[in-house]
Amino acid sequence: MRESWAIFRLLSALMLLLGVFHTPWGVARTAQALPQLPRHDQVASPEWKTRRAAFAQLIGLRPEAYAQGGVTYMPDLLRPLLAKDRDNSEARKLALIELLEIENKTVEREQQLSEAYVNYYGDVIAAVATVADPRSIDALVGAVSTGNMATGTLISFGNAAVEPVGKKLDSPDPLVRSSVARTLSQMLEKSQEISGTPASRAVIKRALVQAAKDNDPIVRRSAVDGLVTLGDAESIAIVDQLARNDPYQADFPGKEGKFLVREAAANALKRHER
Amino acid sequence: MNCERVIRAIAMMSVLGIIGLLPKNADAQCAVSYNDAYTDGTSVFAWANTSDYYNQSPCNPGWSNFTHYYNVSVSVQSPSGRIASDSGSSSAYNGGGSTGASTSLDISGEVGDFFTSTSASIACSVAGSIYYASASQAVTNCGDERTLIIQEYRQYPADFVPACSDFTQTRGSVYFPFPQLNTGDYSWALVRKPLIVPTSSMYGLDNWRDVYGASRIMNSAYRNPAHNYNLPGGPGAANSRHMHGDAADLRNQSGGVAEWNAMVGDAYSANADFIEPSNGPCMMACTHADWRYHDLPGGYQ
Repeated sequence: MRESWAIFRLLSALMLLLGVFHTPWGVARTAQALPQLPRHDQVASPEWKTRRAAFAQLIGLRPEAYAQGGVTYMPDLLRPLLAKDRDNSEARKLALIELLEIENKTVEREQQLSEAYVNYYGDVIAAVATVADPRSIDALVGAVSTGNMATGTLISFGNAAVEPVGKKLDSPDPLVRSSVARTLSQMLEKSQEISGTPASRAVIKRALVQAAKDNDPIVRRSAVDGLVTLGDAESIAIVDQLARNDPYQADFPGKEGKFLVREAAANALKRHER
Repeated sequence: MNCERVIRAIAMMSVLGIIGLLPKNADAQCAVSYNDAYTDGTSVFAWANTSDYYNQSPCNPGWSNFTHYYNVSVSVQSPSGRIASDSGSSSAYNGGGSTGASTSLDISGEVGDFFTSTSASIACSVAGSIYYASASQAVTNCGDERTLIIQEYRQYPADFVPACSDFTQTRGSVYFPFPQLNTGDYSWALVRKPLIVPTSSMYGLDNWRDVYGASRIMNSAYRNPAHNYNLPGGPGAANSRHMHGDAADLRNQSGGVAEWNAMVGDAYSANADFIEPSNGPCMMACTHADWRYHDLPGGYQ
């Protein structure tokens, strides 16, 4: 019986090591292990909460932990993960980019989005911005109206992003066209690579000239800074025309009767003169 | 089933485990413990319990004649060292039992962190210790209603817990004084730097207002977690920037597209990190912009 007892203790210890019982070691092991990468059908699921769960796994969190807590600062989470889990970093990056493309379409399609969804969308943009992979250019262009997380990353890609951003000027949404014009203008101001490359400047000029003739005043207004930054005679003449003749008068609170495009063009020209 | 047969069963399971054929449900979570600590502003409470599911499928190990012993202990220590504690124990033949413990300690005017700790264990009469878990948590007493706000960050879904010193009762900007930035339920709020930096900083709320060029009405800025959770349209996000204090929803006074688009364009010019789409929670009633990646870390001082 004593031998049986010894065998029993030995086998019990073996079972503990195997994690058959949930010992403190088993729990610790579970806590430290990265969640499995999601399957592709989860990433491409029609249910946004399934996609959110997949996103959580892609950034190394348990889905319920992400749903209940979110992420305060994405780079602090994602950069160490990609460095640590090198074997899967490529798969993670590509899945995150695909996820952003899916969410861009969701935002375009849905009538109303909850705060939970919109914050998740912001986190997907933050994750793709953190990855900073040039393969994400098209996905980030799809989020061009969401602010500087997306557009700042696009600008950081330099010349590679100029053409894809410029193409988005064909969007039927004036807010997107306006955001494109602003992003192209900022590219000239913030990227030496872009502002120093004649081919990129030509693409931007072509786009901003088109934007300055847009039917929507907010698009025309967004084009003037970039045209002034280009600084050539033709661009300045276009801004000068807008400052003198643009017909749009605002009719909303705080702006009633103001010629917003004229004002923006005049202010841009003043900056140019200084 | 006698002890010899138990040993044979364990031996068989071990062998199966070694060769990778262990049934998946053998790795199911069959024991669990829960714990929490919180304050109502006058006392700090802590509790814990533990239980197992060994009398339920698929956790039932398939043998019998064993007893599980459950033990839980919980304690709270004040900043000055006062301690309150409790423990609980029970046993269950063939598993499936549980036990719990709870305690509380008067705050008694002590400001600072009250440390709570809990431990839970389950021992088996046949296999020895089969489960152990412990947890510790600090419950902060700021000496005023900030204690309750911080408690909300623990109680409701949130991605961070602020410190007492992060809160303000006065921080405001040129265009938006503190009462406009505090759209929560308390007289204290979190206001991060992007909401108060001067317009010359070329980013932030005042810059947004300045670029717009006319007065704007604040719909919502700081929201405490309970407020954010109980929004009319449903619970807000667990990582809502309104709970961080770097988001602002400015009213679209006309409700029209032209004003909304103008505000978005100006938020872009004010270097907002994120601007919600027009089908977001604001819809066309307001424009949401936040500066989540400016002035990190912190930005509360």
